[in-house]
Amino acid sequence: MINWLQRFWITPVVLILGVLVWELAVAFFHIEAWILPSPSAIVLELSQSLEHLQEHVLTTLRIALMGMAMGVTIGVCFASMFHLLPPVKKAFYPLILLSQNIPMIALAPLLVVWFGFGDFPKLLVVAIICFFPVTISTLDGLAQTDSMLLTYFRMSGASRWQQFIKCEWPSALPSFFSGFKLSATYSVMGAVIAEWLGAEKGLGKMMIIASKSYATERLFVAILLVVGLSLGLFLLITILEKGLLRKYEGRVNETQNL
Amino acid sequence: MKLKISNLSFSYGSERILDRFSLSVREGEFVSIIGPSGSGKSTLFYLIGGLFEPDEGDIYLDGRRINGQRGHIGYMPQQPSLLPWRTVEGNIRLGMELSGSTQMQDIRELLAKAKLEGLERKYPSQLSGGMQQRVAFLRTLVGDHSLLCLDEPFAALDALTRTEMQYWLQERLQEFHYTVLLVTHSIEEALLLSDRIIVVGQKPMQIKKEFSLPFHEIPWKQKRNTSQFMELRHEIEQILAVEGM
Repeated sequence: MINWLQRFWITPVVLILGVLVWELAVAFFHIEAWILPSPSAIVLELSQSLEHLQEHVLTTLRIALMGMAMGVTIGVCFASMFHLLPPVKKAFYPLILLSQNIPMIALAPLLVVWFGFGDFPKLLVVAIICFFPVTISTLDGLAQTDSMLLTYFRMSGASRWQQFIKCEWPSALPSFFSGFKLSATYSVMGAVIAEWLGAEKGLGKMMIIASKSYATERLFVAILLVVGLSLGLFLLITILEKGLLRKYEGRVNETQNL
Repeated sequence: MKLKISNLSFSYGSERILDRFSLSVREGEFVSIIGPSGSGKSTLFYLIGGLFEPDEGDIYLDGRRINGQRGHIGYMPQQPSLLPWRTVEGNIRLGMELSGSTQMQDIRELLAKAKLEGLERKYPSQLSGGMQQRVAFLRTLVGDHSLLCLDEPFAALDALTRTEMQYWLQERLQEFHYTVLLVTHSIEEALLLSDRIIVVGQKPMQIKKEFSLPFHEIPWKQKRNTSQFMELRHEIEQILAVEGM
């Protein structure tokens, strides 16, 4: 903790200073609350609406988590399939790259036309955003398996499946987690975009209403919550990663004279 | 005959690596192949291991043709190639998993026998290079293959560790009766460990000379000091010098 403070003290200091300048500027220049509310007004709004914020947060979190789970599963499946079946990779990899260039804001209304206003199109929006980083990073990790390990496996008569499950996939696990963390940060944003299209609850819906009624401090509250959720998910996955990959880190941290 | 290689030819692109190469190894024999680097010694192992299919010729193990077939030999590479995410015990067990060996051996007992007791829960990163190679050797042993192919297993170790490892290996091989094919750069290593040494020359790989070693009866520590040992070393050095090693 002390170490952490020594390394990162500058960030909170800058943040606090920034908020301070903002608060003073709003008061000094008499900026209207509907243009830029002061930080204290935002905090006040947050504390007053805590109770009914809860259901918005939970709705968005549910869409984000379920969509992310879908996206990560699809990503792992794609990466495994591409790795094990090179012809399939040749055929579909460029298409997947291409799919990422379609603006979500254009695709999302189409999904609503096709699948209605239920949860499914929203989950799909999040999944489409989340599968991509997982696919790419896992595929990279699989391809970078130590060739000496692979030679050992082949010489020892390992089947293709054994080679994949016992050697390539564990080697790719750290790369998979890099993609997973990216997905987690995108997932909340994806859920918000999905909710813009039509939802009854959720932070996205709250944003739309707030901006239409010039309740700018509510808009800021929503932004704060989106950032908080994204960071929270990121941290959660980082902790999971640390736990699962402790063995891998052993090669740097622990040395013994034997 | 345990292993019989007859008229084996193999090319890598347009380069001829092996040209009608023949070699026989008896049951329980320890044979070393020594030669300049890049002479195709590792390629020979990849052919025996079934990684490559020969252009011509045949490989027989226990009278069965094994051209292009994997999983018949125990293989140990120059780098330990242990899985960093598995413990010593898990890494040794991998040898059984890959060979589909049904008879589960007690790994703790094996480690104790190999003077590595108490290491089962350690990760490879916590071991020195020499220890890692010992674990890699045990992993090769539990695969239950009667022929072991060791590809410069000690080349990456420092001189002192290397000497210790040679003694350790020789001890293990007295407990377990295996047929061993060893590729090495070190003349001394070949002289200390082998029953027979085969000196090979550059591409395509061909046998320059064969030596049957007379040291069986001589205790390990005295081998080096016999006049025969020194003469043989000198002779092999001469052959390799011509080959430009």
